[in-house]
Amino acid sequence: MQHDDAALSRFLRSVRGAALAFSVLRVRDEEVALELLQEAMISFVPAAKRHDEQTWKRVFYKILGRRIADWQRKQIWRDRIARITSFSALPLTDSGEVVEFSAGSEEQPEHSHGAARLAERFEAVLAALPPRQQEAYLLRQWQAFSVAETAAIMGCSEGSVKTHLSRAMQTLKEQLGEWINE
Amino acid sequence: MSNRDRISAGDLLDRKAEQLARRHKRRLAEMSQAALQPGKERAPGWLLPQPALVLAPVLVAALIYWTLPGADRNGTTPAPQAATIPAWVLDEQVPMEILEAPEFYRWLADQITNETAHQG
Repeated sequence: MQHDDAALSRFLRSVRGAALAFSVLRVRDEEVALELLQEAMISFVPAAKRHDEQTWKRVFYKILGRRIADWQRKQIWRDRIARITSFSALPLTDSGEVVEFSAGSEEQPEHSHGAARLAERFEAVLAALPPRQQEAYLLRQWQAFSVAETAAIMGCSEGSVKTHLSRAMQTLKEQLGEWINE
Repeated sequence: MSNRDRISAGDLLDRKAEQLARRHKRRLAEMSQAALQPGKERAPGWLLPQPALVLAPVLVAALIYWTLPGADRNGTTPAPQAATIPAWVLDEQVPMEILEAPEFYRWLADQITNETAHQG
């Protein structure tokens, strides 16, 4: 299956902002997220040539999801090793700490202070979800993939997707129900 | 904050995406270009340099050294089989400072011994 570079370029342009946010929200580090996104783009281009254009978004998120999962697995091991060997030089993510996203006021002048605080709170609650719940929530609720597509991207059953999603929604509702609409 | 501030999660995520896209506009464009360049496709894995392949014999030797039966090294438990070395040690790039630390191999041997004990 052949596609021209213009179609691929259009696709990457259309998806990269949301894909970066997806990545940042999951790894909680913009630089790491950019690197993972770059790797996913590079892997995606040859893969796209073997797939129908209608499925590109699913293929892209599957590749990106795998990159993120690999990175998270490495972090878990680095964390374990560092705890045992007491090397403090490793770049660790504190599991319980909420990363403050550096959204400068000049970048979102239209937002009220309250809305900005709400966004921060939402990101913090989302970041605290287990990785599979985060993934299911972002793919299904935000990117609007079907349950079947989400299951294919996550490499699990549709039942698992529903379970992850249900738990994520429950936590978000408990933590933010007063302020956030689904 | 009042209930009038209610907002959809999708809107918050869209705003986040827009914000990030603005902040990294040039870099994202460069990344797309780089991905589309011919020759950016990755070579098959077996053609790429594999640091893990180089390190594997060192790891195996170190594990055997630290876990040889009868070798009294801080009461290390009997040797597990080399085949039980976790895949992550072999297929991931463990930082060099860790690979150079004897404590790492003691810890790794303990982990393998514990896992073997749990399984058996």
